[in-house]
Amino acid sequence: MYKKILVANRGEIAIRVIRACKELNIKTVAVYSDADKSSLHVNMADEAYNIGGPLPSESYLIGENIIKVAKKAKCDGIHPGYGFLSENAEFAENCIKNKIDFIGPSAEAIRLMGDKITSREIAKSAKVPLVPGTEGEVQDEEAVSVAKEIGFPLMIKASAGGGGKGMRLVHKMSDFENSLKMAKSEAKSAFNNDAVFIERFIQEPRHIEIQVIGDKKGNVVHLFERECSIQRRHQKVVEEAPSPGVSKKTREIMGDIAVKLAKKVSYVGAGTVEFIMDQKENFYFLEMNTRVQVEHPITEMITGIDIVKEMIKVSAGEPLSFKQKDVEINGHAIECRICAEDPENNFIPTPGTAVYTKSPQGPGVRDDSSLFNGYQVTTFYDPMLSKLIVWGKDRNDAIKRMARALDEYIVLGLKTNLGFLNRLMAEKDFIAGKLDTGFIDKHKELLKTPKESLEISSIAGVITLHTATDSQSNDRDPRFTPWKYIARRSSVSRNSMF
Amino acid sequence: MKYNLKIGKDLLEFDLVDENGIFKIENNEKNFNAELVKIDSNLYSMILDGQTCTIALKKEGKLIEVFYKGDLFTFEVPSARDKSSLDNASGVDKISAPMPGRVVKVLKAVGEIVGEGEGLIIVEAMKMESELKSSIDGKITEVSVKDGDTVDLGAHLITVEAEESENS
Repeated sequence: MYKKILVANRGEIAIRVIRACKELNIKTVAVYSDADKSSLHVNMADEAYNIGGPLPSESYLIGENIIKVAKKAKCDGIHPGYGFLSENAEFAENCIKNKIDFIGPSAEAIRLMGDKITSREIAKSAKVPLVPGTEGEVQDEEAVSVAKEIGFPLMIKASAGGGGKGMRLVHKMSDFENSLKMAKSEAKSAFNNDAVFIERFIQEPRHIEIQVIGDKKGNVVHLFERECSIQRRHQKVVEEAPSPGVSKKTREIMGDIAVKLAKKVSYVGAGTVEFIMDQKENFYFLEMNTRVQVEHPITEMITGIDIVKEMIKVSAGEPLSFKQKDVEINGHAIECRICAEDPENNFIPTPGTAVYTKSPQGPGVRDDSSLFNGYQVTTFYDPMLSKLIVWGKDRNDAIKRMARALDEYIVLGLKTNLGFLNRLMAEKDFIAGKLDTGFIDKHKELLKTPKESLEISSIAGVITLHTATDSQSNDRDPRFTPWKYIARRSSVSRNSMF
Repeated sequence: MKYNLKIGKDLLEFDLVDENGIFKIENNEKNFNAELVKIDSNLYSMILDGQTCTIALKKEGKLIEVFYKGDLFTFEVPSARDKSSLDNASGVDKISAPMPGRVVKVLKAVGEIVGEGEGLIIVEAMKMESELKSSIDGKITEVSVKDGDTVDLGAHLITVEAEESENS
């Protein structure tokens, strides 16, 4: 087992890895940029080293410097977390060259799965379903037969395209030839190139992903699916496991396929195979993420497996501590990403200082957070503040628990998406599990702050204004006087009589 | 006592009677009985007509920031001048950079007529693009940046003026 691990990341994931190391009796080394000196991951690690300026390109992305620190601190492993260098094959290779383990898959596996074209080829050879479509330009004479083969609805897209130009959604055969003509002429005028390709159009797609984990003995096990359909700006906001849209049978098929794919590249460590799925449970391969995923905790909650600890152990050469037949789904878990952003204003990030924060507690609640009172959100990094995760005996129970936990969460000093998430947990389509990646666009009413909340807040505001005006000439603590105490007591007893 | 708070373009009016820390408040023809009990540095229980509301707040100069049920409201204590200009519904919307970033695209030029909620400019920061919108109906009177410019926090970007304010 490792003696000392360098965590090449920041924020909550660095803390997550440090926690796993502590439980495994492994010493930890944090690295930090100038902007992150006063952050929790530095505070919680055994050692910490500055690696440069606040921009990721000046610090967290310079692999060479991070390896230097690891050598100086005598680390025998580097955990990359997610983002930054986690899917950088060259960095993984350089770690090994410097006799430090890269805690993750081989550089080869990262390279093969990281490339859109090679990963598609590998997926095809592993018989993983791909979105039906022509791989290249479609010729006029074959277009009709190709369209029939792909099936409707389908999308005609300009090969040189972008911005929706030369794109046509076609629902039935009788519209096809006319749409093809129009798409081609649009493509010709927009890009001076009338080449188009055809792809099946997935209506109301759901984002479903399978967690896999492999060891160095060739074992790969899947830990079921997560649904991550609630997205904004093509980024996930709410994830849950298991998916309310995946049947037991589909779950087994998807799991087997994901394991097969991972085995093709001798996958070691935690990875995720992402699929797009229609409402009839037809699913197609999107990509594989060769790292620990932001939303890994929900899988941990329903399987009882500590994915980060397991990653470290398999990287050190231990076999997986479980077999496929040992893993079971227990209950339901949901994660909400708490972000410094303004849902009412197109989810624009809201940098600033979280002056005061309070995170929820109680049964079934886990908060993987990097927040503290005075935490500064800068423009240098992702605006995610914390991941709030709950477990419940079933989906309904988990939703109610999440609503309760969100209600306890307080972040003062900058706008967050907490109010939006709060309203989402009471939305009837969400409760019914009717999810697709267009969910937020279809439920724009959730983005608006309720009038009632403004009213209640304004009353607290005016009392504060009054108290401040009142106490200006008087230095005494305005909150407590014997007179108020007596008045309050009598009002309480009055209330309790009714 | 009469109090005013400003939020966005709206001016809120309150009539407050302090009865030993229990406040009778009238706002928008509605009456409330409220009490604000401090728990720790910024955390309060507000008991509003017998209902408990968990509130976090801070006051800094003229700004009062209130957190309730996941949403954050920033109220401004209006100055006398604010009040009179608000009464005239001042029709100028000066858009400035909400954070340091880059101008992706200026969507409107000086002289163009825009409606409330119409996009004026797209800026990029923290790897995300955002469209900044007009809060009023009016005409573009000033554009201070061009596509590709790097801007600092608070830098002026674009100004919309309501048509009638030009006449007055």
